[in-house]
Amino acid sequence: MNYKATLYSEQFTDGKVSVELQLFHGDLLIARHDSGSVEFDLKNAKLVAGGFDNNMLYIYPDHNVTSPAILVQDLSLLKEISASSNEIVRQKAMQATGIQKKKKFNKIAGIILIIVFFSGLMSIAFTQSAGIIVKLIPVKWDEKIGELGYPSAIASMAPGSTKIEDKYVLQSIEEIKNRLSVSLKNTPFKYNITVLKSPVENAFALPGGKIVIFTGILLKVDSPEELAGILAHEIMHVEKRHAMKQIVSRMGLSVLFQVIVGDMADAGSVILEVGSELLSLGYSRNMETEADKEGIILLSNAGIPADGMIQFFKKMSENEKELKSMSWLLTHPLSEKRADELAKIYKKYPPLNVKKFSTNWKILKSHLK
Amino acid sequence: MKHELIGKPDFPVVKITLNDGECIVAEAGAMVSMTSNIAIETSARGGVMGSLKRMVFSGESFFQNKFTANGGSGEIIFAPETMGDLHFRELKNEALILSRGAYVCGSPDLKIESKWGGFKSLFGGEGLMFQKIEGTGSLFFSSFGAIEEIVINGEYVIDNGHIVGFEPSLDFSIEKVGGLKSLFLSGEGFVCRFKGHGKAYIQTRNHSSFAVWADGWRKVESRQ
Repeated sequence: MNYKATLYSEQFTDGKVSVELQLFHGDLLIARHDSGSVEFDLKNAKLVAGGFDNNMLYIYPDHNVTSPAILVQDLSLLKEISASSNEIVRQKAMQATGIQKKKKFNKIAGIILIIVFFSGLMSIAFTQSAGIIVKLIPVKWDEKIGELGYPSAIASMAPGSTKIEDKYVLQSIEEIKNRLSVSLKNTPFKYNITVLKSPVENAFALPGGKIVIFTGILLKVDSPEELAGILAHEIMHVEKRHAMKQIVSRMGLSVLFQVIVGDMADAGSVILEVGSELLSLGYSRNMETEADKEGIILLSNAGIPADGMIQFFKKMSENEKELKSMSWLLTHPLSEKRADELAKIYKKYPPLNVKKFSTNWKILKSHLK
Repeated sequence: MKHELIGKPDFPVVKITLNDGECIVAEAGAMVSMTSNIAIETSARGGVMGSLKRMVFSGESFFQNKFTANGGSGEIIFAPETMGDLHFRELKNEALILSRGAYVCGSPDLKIESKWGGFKSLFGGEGLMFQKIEGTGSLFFSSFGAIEEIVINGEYVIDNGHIVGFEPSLDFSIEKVGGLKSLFLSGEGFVCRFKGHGKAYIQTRNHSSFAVWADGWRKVESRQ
């Protein structure tokens, strides 16, 4: 096979000339140019990988001279030399290939390292700035995402469940909700609660203030205070706009760009498009901790003892079997640490002017059956 | 396309004569003057990511301008950013590696690509990225001070602040001059040891040395 190459030598006017290379018997390289030819005995030659991109091969007649030199860009010559029957020549080719591969590897490793470093910085910057960006997004969008996300959330958790219309149940829950929402100062959100008949033991809040409670969890709850604890936690996810923060930090730069450039309508359509899907991803641990803490403060302001919430957690996690069936606890796992944290926060924020609820929870449960 | 370098070697500009329909690509802000029949088209050549890479890593501008002569031949003058020489090289299906910010203008067929210089270039004083200009066409690049062409056969040492460009058949490694004492006291610091065969272009002045010198003349607000 013939290879195109460059021969460097002082004997040429330009210092170099184009040559055609041919390998004979695996150890004799002949470089032909217009006015003659040069022979390289590979047994004595020096083979070096080189060039800015490490994709070139230099061949020198021996180890002590730098001229004449052959420069080949086609590395398949190196492969042909590696297949030589001469042991020394073969080893030289292997060495050159090794150096070339190592240099290439170093370069790629460097690029990957830099990319990892910068994307790490970016993601840190993003989680930090998500809160700031969210402030620029109108509250209306939370409501819109909640509305859009509602059908798919119900369809995935409790398909075909029906609304509970029982007045005693709805009024009791409304009373708890009102006590909590009155204590929220300057909230831009309107909370409304839907109770659905389903064995699913869960309750959740959608961005914008729509709260869904399944009868499954109501049957596990033993007092209005326990339900108030669950609701306070969910309400704080809405108040702190955790869903929107998740969406913004996951969607990354494109949102930031659009918000800054000012085309809110454009950013809005993108957020709405992906937002309802992202709802299913759940919240980060920091967000859960924040909702815990703010939830207890809310309970305290509303005059509701938060030990109901802590009790509920403990009660549920005692029974492991129940823990598995309890989807609310699956997304809000109660570790000992979390219980301790909750207790600590509760100590700091004891309820002001405790007021009892009028509901008799036993009667409420009987209405659900 | 014809060209003429005027004002060499101190403050040169290049005057390019374009035939009808011919075009040339230049860095944003490089145009000095032109005949009225030349149309300018600004674009992020190589796509947004490519341009971003070029801007962030190679110190060139995000947007590049394409100048086309319409309805007859036209004349256009380009100048580099810094005071220094302009060099012309006709690339014939070959490549040239240029250091940060050296590219001024060239044929639209030339492919410009940002190239990672490896960790060694962190110490090279030339930035992490180089530009690889590849293809066939005219290329104009600039320096700080005058440009000297050096033919390297085997090995050659160049101070890191004086590299303008080199052929891709050359590779370099960063090393310190002498021992630790000379690293800090000789004023040479790190140098680049080139290996291989090919041409390198050096500039006769160094940006950072000039910046250090000029800094001494900067007006300083007195503290009250």
